[in-house]
Amino acid sequence: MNDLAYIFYSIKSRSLNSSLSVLLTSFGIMIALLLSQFSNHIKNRLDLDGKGIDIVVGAKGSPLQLVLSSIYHIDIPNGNIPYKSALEISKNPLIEKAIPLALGDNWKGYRIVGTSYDYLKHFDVKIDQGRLWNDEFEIVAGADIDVKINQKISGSHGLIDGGGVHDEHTYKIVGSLKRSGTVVDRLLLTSVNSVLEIHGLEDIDHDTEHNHDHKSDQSSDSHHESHRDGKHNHKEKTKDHHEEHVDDHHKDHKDEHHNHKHSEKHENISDKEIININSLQKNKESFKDNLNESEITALLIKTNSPIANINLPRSINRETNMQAANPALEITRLTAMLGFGSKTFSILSTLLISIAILSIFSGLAGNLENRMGDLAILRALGYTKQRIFKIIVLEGTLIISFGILLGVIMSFFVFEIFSNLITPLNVIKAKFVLNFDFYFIIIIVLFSGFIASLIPAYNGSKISVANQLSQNI
Amino acid sequence: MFFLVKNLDFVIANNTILSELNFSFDNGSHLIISGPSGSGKSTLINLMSGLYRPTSGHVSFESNDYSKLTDKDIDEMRAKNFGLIFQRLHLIKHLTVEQNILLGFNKIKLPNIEKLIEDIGLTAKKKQLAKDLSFGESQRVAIARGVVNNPKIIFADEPTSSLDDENTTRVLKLISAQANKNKSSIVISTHDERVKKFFKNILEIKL
Repeated sequence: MNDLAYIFYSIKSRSLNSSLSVLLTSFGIMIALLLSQFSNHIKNRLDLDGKGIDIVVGAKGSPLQLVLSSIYHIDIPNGNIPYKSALEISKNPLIEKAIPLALGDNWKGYRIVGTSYDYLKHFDVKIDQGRLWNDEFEIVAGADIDVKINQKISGSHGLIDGGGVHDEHTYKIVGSLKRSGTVVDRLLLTSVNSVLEIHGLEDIDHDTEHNHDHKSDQSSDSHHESHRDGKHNHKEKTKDHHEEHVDDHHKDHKDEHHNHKHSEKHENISDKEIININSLQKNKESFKDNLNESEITALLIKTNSPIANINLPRSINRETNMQAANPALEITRLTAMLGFGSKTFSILSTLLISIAILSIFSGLAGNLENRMGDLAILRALGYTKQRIFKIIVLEGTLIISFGILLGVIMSFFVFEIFSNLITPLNVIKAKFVLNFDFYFIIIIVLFSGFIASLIPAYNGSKISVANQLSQNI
Repeated sequence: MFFLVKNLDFVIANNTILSELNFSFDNGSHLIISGPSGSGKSTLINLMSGLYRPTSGHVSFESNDYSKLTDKDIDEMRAKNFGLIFQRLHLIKHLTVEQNILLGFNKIKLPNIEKLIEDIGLTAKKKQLAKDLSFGESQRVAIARGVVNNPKIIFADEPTSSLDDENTTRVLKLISAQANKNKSSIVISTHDERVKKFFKNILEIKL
């Protein structure tokens, strides 16, 4: 009878005990792998999506909310900021690059982001099919979004799925982007003007014109509230709608004014389809600043020096009605608050793996007491100490291998379930990754299980055969 | 000399179990170790089969002095040349009849296991677990395991201690038949007078 067959029947004869050891190991492995995978995804998201962005400027409110909404697109914005003010900030010599963001709508949960080509350059994203947007209501889709070129889509108000649909305006998909592994993969990108127009920002501008003492954050707050509710409280005037009003002999003065302003703005924006603040800075003469009275959601800034990362936010926060947040600081604060820092994950994983290994040790050591008689019989029949040692180590290693195998399978399935249940993971379409940590955990557990089985194996091989046989019943 | 015991002493926990023991036997001859309970018969079997090391003196098989062999050498020698039949049988309960017998097999060439199981009359139960066998069936399995390796010496410790006359005869015939096939020597420890009449060489151990 070969040793593997003996081990198989030995494990089978203690099926309950062996199963518990396998299950304990598999649960330990599963939790360690899940923690590692989630930690890895969160770290990747934080690192990749926030890479190269030193400061975010937005409306007053929670700086963390500003960072999460503008960089990671996982929260709603605090509000809007006047475009004119954002433009002034972008002229600061300490700023290397400033990218405008205009948020407000989504399509099937994917955010529609009004921005400039600089946003794509920043993430080094290339076009895969079609082309970039050249005109208003042309849109380019991230790699994770399942759309076809020339497909027409209507944005829904708000930043989560389910808001009121902008039926009056449809976007046309003109291109799709290559996968970048960043937040861009899950965004629909268009010009800033498309987003502004769809929200009829001239109404806000109109109010602002007549109420110069209004704080921008007040209007922003109301805008934000409507976004939060997913209701469309703005006076969403559409081109078609306006045209109808133009032909309407019963239109009132306000409507006239509204229509006129909208048409004028549309004409001007068409002249400047890309809001590239950097290029605008360099070509101030040719810049037609027709969006002065409009609002954007945030300005992503890359500075010239680390000192600027500290000084610039201070001056913006002190001297303007806007807020400047440092993403690195906010994310550090967030991870510290939630306790999912990499160190915490490491400690927790180590603890769980240790429990799994101890379970193997206790299982083998506990069983050994009951198996001494069998081992003595084998020794009496001529099995050497080395062979007995090998059998026990192999048995422990086999149990832990089954545990690892089951744990890996379980973690695959549980990860899939969690990925669908937990919104941030669902949104980023998190996949189980066979990374260094995955192999490291498996090898460490396997090796530790091997080590844990050495002591019972040593004790088992050293039994006094004749004495043990005399005790056997 | 095939098997030699010279000036053998065995002391355990300050108790002298065996003292100044000397005997030998040739290949193919049989030996009965007789004596009352507690006289050290089983201890002598364990010393001869290498499960114990002597306190002093020499045990040698085919001129291999145990005192000069490593534990591993003795294990391998036992596996290759000796067959053991224990008083308490010591079958592994979660293994089948066939698997228990095969545990005793350590040579490359697979024995005719079917024939052996047929010889002990357990063909119908070869896939049955040892824990489900009767005592008599278990005893036959223990004997089969002891002879499956075609050993040069079959050590049997009190093989008939709890058997009636009929079964004593059956067991001894079974062991003898298997020994005769391979021209093996048989060493039996017993205090059973019924066994002595089957053998010529008797070593009496006194308390």
